[in-house]
Amino acid sequence: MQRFILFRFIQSIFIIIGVLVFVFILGRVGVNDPAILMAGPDAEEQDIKEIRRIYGLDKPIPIQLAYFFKELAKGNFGRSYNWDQPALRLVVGRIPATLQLALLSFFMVWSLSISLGVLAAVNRGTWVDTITRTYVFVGQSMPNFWFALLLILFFGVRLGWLPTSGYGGIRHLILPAMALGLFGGAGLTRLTRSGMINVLDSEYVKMARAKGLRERTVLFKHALKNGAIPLVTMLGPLLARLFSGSLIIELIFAWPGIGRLTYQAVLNSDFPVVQCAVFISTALLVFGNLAVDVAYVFIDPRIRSFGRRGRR
Amino acid sequence: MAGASVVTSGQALSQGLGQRVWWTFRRTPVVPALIVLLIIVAALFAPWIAPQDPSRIDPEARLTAPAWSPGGSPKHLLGTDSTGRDLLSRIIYGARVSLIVAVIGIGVSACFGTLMGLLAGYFGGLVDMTIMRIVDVMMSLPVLFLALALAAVIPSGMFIIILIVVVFGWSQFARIIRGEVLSLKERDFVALARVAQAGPWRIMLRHILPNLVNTLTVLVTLDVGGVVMFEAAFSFIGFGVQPPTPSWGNMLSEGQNYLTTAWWIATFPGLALMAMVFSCNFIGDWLRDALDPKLRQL
Repeated sequence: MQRFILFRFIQSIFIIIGVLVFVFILGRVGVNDPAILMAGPDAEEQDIKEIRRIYGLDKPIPIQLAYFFKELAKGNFGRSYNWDQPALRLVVGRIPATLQLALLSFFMVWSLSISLGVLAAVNRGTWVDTITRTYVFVGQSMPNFWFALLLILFFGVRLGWLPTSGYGGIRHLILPAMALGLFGGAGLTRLTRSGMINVLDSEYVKMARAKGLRERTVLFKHALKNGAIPLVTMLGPLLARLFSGSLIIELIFAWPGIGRLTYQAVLNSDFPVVQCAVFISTALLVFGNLAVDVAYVFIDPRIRSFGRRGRR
Repeated sequence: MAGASVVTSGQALSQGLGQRVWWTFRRTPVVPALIVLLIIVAALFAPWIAPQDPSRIDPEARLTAPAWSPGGSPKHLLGTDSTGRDLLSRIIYGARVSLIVAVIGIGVSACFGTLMGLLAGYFGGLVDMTIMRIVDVMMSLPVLFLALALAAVIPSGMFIIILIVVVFGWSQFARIIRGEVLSLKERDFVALARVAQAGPWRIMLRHILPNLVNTLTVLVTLDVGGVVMFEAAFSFIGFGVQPPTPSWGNMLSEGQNYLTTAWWIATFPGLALMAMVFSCNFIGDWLRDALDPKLRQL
């Protein structure tokens, strides 16, 4: 148990270091010379040489890498070329916006998949089930950025109910969260439905019913605990999908999160910011996954007895 | 979707009309198959099918509405974009991009992933450990963010999309193929082949691989929708296929600026994209139930 968590923790650290090295090398061997970018558009040859010397860009790559990690240990990702601020502060400042969007859509995904999945499983073969299956199918085929455009067209332009871009109160959050969350739970709904169907056929549920327990108790106290296991196991992948999806949604709705910042940084070849943003997003995702794995071990006793390697 | 094969046709008959239509439709996906066929034909024969040159600019006809709505002209069935290019022709040519990315990207990642899955499953031990650790890592990365970092260095275009599809796509093939190989290698025909002194490569390629064809067919089909969607998304944010080459993604991003004035520019490429993804998923689901019901948890 402790070994499993420790193992996964060390693995996570290695993933993050690997990603950092990868992005660092991308930035150094890339088409753009960082010294020229730092110097700005109207710099003399002399200035560029000077910058190269100050930042150690004339040294071999492994030494630069060591220097990079040394600075990183102090929390220094370098300064943004474009905004002239420490890259880390810039990226961390964008975390709240991304989290707001991700959490609200996550909540939508979860509540939709639980309620629709359970409803469809209980009312199997009726119109409720048909509607759920249609929802699952449309959801799995709907590109979220196109859905976002449709939402803007309908609620923003035709009806004029909601603002279609920018950052502000709850009203600004509704459309982006819908674009990300409304159909994001399609796969999860399907898994919940089939999980619940399996569980409802099982002996212990029949037993609970035979004891004369109320249907509501049977469903939510007994069946859902096992039927909804996919809701926990698929949390990691869901997190990853919401995170990647939020990048495009942030762009469409001009939402000032990490995704939009990364996009702007890439356009400006602002490599310290790209590096830092990729670092933060990897760390959020990898540790999110770790937390899911650990939680899963606690929830499902069968896995605890197997020891390590729960998921997959 | 699960439980589809459990319900027999007799049960389906006793259900309501909506259910019956649903099941009939589901068992033989004629419509999705026709849509995919149409898109493939359009992509292959684009120069002969497209009514106009997709990059011919016509300032006189800019922002023409679709033929059936006021202000439309029969010359441009689905209307024109901001520079007067014919939307229908651009959608037909855009199908080429989607298909090229899907065929090359999935082809390479399926081959590589299958090879890795075979190695990991067959040899086990340290080989398995190493490959599966890498697979675990690949599946827990923020793909779009890393793709953006790549886009900062590699010039935009079809190449970078295919590269990303391959780099981040092979792992899912490897994972599932490995699982299959683990159970296949315990079977008698593999033991017999070993007794007949077949080498590991011969066993993997001649004895195990043919048994993976069903699984691979299902996996590849189910992957097409996602890859087509990724191409569109990446071109949509401007790092994929660059205009003037038409791709459904970059047409959508152009249409985004005209949502209020010319709804058709963003609507039709989106519909084409959705029809394609929908059909591929549908066919994939049907194939899975028919060929390899084990994969239903996917």
